[in-house]
Amino acid sequence: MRKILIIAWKEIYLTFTNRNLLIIMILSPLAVATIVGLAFGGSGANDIPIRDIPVAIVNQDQGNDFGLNYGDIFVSLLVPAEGQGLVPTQGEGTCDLLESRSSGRRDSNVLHDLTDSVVFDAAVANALIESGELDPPVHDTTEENYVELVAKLAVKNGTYVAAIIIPPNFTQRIAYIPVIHPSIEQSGITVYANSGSPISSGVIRSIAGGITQRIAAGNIAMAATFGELQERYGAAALSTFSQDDFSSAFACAFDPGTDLVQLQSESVRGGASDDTTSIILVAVGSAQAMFFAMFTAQFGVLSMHQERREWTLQRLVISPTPRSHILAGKLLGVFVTVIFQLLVLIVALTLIASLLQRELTLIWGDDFLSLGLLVFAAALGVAGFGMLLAGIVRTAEQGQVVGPVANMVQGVLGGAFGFLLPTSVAVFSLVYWGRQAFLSLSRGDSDIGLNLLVLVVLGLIMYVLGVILFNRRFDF
Amino acid sequence: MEFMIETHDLAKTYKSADGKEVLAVRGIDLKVRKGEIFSLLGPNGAGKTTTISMISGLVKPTRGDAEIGGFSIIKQPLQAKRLMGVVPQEIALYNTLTGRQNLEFFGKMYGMRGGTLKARVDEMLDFVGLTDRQKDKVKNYSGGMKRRLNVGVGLLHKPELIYMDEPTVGIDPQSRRRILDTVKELRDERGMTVLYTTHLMEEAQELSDRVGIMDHGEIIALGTQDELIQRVGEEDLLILKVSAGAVDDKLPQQLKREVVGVTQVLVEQNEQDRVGQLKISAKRGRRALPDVIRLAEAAGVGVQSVEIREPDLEAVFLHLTGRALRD
Repeated sequence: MRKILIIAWKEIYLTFTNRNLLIIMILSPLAVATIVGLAFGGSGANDIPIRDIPVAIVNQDQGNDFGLNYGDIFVSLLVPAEGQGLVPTQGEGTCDLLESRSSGRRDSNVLHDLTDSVVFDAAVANALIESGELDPPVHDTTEENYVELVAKLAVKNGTYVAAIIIPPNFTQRIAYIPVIHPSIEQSGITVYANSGSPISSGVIRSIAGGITQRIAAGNIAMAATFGELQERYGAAALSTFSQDDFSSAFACAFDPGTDLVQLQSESVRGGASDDTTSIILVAVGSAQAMFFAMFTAQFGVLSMHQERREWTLQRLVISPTPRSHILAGKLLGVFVTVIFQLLVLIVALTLIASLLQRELTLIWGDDFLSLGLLVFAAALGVAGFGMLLAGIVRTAEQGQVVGPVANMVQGVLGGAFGFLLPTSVAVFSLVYWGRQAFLSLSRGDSDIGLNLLVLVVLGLIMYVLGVILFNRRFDF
Repeated sequence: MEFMIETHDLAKTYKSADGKEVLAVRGIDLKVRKGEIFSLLGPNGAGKTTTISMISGLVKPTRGDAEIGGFSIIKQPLQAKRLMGVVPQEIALYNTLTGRQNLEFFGKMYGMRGGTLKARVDEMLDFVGLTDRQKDKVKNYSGGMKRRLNVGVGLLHKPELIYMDEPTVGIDPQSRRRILDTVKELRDERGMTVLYTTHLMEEAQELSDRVGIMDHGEIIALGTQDELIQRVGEEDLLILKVSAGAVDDKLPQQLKREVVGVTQVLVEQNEQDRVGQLKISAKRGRRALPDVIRLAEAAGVGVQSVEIREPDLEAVFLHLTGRALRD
């Protein structure tokens, strides 16, 4: 055991005294994540170069007896020409006063440009399934939740970046109607977003949040007006209030055109941090950390071929040290180095995010145990991948060619280069599993068991295969 | 126990790139006595390094076994390896570590630690003359310094047996002299057994108590230098320098046929320097010389100089194989 530790320590020492390797290990991923985070997050959020984000709106809202349907507001704001119900196309009365202030923004609906939203109903759901793009949901499917489940599957497989789920009784619960429904209850709209597209998902969450706030504000305005009318003229007078009167009087209260949704300052996630920069730091940082950790592991394991060429490996074999200890020492060194690399990146990105936020921001979430387990599993996965490559290649030179190519493939599949491939392909990448798990933790979701399992099992399988292949060539 | 190394039918077969089996070592039986310098002499590719690699546990023999101090290198590799130190032909050092760090690391691999390790490292740095440069990274050492440190690492744990595989390749004469003196010192002052491989006849002659001559994976002759030279008998080696390209294929045959005492004729050409050499083994070489020169000039070969050598290991190799050691 002592010799394993001595060899591992030598590996770690050689790695951390290699300036070029340190640049690749630490500075490169840190720089990429920070630059991307600053470019697309923070004050630059207004300039997010994103358009036509595919969104599925599952509008199950049945409205109320008064003809009011808040679900349709979502639809009308996000889906051109599909708008129905409350939101008028021209201002009247009170709205005229607001027209002059917001005319510039009403000329075009920013939301229509930003999103490519569709009303996701049973017809759309069936079409997706019949086309083979989606498998039908198999668990706990009822007639009521069928469309919702299919929409979620469509998000999961990447057809849509997000699904906005509006429940059936949404309007009934929150709408204030004098005499009939004189109270307001809580209700909720669910935004089911693909965390693999953090920027777009964040934008959609912001939009949904903005619209929701607008509806809440409209509700309050309506309740206050009705209260005033009831006090002055009595409840009987309100019974003469027609739907058309209602529309013309309150339309602008629900029109976000009078107060466009502010994307840059809205909450876009439910985790430990609420700013876009942090999300991007996590999304890009985790992918880059996994990607560059693969290089580190590879450099470390492939150095066996380098040592063999320089005869230091032979010198170790000639010494009274079992070959298994030599291999174990090398891999332990690589494993510890990768863990250290990941931890440094996690801490450094946390510091960067905190500096930008001017307060301590735990961008990776606050479940430190899960985070530690994930770092451990990720290190095991990439070390196993490195060992497999070391077993496949015959020389250091081959490793220098095959290694980076294999890493690039893993990086592309796993989303390390800013775009995501379909999940069915991405699952073959360690980067994907690590990245998804880091993103989950950052959102406060500790359900990363599958990710840990995949990383550990894949790592061990690749490690064993690598050792078998390498041992075949361990005769000099 | 009289012998430090004993090999029994030690053989190694490799597969070449085209799938053919290459017999690198053809089953050798070798015994090296304790406290002697034993040289394996042979041209490049003779199988010297493969033999040492098998004896040191680096390469698994295809068949046979080797015992080091009574321990089988196959069945008891760790015990056998503790007795030996190896100075490989290559500079087997970590370039980005300092000289001292290299010694410390490999010392730990031999189980040394603490004060013992420090004392041995200091001693070895002094022995190889690198105390002043111990904190410099090896990549900043000269070739000779690296060679000396390479030797130092092999000797660090005071092995009873040291393998030195062509340790003087590619170094300056001063460093070479120092290494050769070190080898003799190891035997004379420390009683170490040295197994030394070289393709340089002069080194084998200077150092060896006994010599094994290897060619094509076999030991073709083994004994003390005197014993080996006696095989050649009274043959001298005549070396004639001639113009390159001047010697045709007929002259060697003619010399063997017509000059009394000539047993071997070897032609070496160096087109680059425009010189050639005729190496002629001949009994009573001085008496044969006039006839040799006469026939050479009759064949149109201008002789530029003549050297007559007493029988040596190179003559032995030439006698046994018909080839020069450096072929």
